[in-house]
Amino acid sequence: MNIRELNNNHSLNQDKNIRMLEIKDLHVSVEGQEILKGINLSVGAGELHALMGPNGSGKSTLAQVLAGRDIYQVTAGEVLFEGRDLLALTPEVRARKGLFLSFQYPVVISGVNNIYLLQAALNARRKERGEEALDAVDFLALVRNRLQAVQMDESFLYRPVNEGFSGGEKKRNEILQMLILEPILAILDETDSGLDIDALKIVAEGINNFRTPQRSFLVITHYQRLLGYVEPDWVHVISEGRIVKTGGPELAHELEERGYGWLQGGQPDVTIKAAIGP
Amino acid sequence: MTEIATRAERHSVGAYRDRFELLQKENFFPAADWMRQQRQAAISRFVELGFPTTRWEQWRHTNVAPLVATEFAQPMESQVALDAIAPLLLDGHPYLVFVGGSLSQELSSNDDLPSGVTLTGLEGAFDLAPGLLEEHLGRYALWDDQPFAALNTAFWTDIAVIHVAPNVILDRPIRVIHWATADGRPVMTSPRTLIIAETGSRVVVLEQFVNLEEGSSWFNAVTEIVAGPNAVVECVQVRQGGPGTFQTTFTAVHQAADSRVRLHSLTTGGRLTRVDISANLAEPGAELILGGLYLVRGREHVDHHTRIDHVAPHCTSRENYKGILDDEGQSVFNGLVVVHPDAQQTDAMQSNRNLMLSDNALVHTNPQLEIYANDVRCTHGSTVGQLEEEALFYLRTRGLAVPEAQRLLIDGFAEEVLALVNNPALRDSLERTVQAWITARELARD
Repeated sequence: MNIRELNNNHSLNQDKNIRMLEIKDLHVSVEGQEILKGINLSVGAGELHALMGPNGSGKSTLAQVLAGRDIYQVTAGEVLFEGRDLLALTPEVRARKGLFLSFQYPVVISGVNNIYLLQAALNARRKERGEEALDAVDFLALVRNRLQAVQMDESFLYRPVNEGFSGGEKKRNEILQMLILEPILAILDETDSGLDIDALKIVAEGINNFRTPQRSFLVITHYQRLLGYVEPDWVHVISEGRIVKTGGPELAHELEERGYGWLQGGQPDVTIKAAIGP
Repeated sequence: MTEIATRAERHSVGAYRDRFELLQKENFFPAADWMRQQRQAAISRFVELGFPTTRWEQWRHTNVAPLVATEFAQPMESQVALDAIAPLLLDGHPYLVFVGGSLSQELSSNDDLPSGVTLTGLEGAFDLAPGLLEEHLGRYALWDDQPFAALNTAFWTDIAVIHVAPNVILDRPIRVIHWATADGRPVMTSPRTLIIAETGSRVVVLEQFVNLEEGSSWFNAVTEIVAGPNAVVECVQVRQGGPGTFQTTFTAVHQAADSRVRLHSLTTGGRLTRVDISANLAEPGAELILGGLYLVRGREHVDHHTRIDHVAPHCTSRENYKGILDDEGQSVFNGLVVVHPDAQQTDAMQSNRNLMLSDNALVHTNPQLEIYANDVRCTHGSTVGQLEEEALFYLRTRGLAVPEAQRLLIDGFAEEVLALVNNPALRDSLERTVQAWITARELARD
């Protein structure tokens, strides 16, 4: 059954009509307050989409809903992941089928070693694909290889997940997980926030080396800076729960110049502009 | 204790007194004069005190009425198959097995020991240096306000003695297994253990209280640990009672200068468990680590009362107790650290954290400090929380199913206390016990 499913996946990817991710008129509320007010977004295989917007615009809510966080209520609309109903799946099934969320605020898991989580997560993903669990030697070889890609020391493996990690280390740890789990759709929620320029380059390189014609990305960011290192195919601007503008990479530069204010009909937002790094 | 005892209590107290007198008359108890005096004083005190009630400050949240109402018999001589005990044993480790409170020499293995280490029941203990037993036995577990310790002192029939001569090192854990007998009626077992680590010696002990039977039984245990100057003692106490088991254990620790003691407690079962620990840091430079983990489910009740007396200056104590509670489980933690006037430069930390897996579980936690010196560093704290929804979600987004994610988080919560166990063989063994509890919990939910 797993083999057949693999074949299905393959044929789905070949079929140009079936998109990696299709969000149709998505409305989401939390505690009775509507946060997403009709999102439409379509991501094809191999595409990298950047989703930009000011704080409170609904960016992170969208990321969490796509990953399956149940504190949000989807009140209307649908989401298709490789043509299947994503919202019907539990968070763990979404992950095993190849959806990965890099958290804006990675969670500390005390008492659980990083390597233990990596192994459990990888085995869950492999099982879904009908593959055997990796033996200890192969697993460690894979992990070491990926550690190098994000320039993390092996000692991170034997520390509790994210405990005592600096902000930059937490974000790199998310990218490490992504490189090991090899998702087909990676949603990176403000992975660039709080990173110094060196860490940002490492993360960007991790993403660039990871791009394939089959793998898609949704990169959520407040700042334009990351997009100087990672070239998006499309840029969307979200504001007050709606996508208000979509364009090519040049849209990101425009936002850097003018801030978000003009999109909401106001003046260029000076504070946001000032916050954009070099 | 001026309050009027109920009829049931009076009756029950009287029954224990009558039985004691009968057994004493029949020369049932081992009889050195000093022992006889100790027993006599202890039963008298027990009769004065009676069983504790929830009106006693130290027993406010633990009601022993079901224990008082049960008629417990003296253990009969009985046989336990080696097969039943085998899974508890580690290869190549010396051990004593007590069945119904009496040493079973045929089940024990205590001949492969380095010179200077004595591991024996009462009979062999008389071969130790004259006066050694009298000097230590019953001198630390003070029962003046401890009715259960008094009852144990009156009723014990055999004793596990571990003695390590000066500068002798033994890193292989010694096991003492207390096995409850099952002869179809409730039985009171009175395990008694004495650990003496002389100057500069080192020893690791695992004390295990096991009752896997369905029926009702009661372990009423006392353990005394004496660490001489510069001695190192690690002791793990594991209570794995069945659904009908009552467990009341009192452990007294006495520490000389520069000694280091680690005392860990793991409770994974039993209808009602009361753990009393009293540690005396009597001389400068002593260091104590108290670690505790209690895993409570069904309608189990686990109560820890610990008291650490910093009597001498420059002593350190670290206390870390954690509880995991499911179903309608209840726990009590009452930790008292007393820093005496001379105990300057005391460094004491105390923590009790609880993880609630069910809305119906109940936790009482009360860490306390009493400080009579002015140059000290003392901290204490307690928390009660649930599995973090955010952490659970994070693990699920990594492909872990809910039970697996829960197991990881529960494991992670317990890990901090297990990490305090120094001896790797013991730590592994405890980790397996915790795993088994989590698995049993999962199965019960299916």
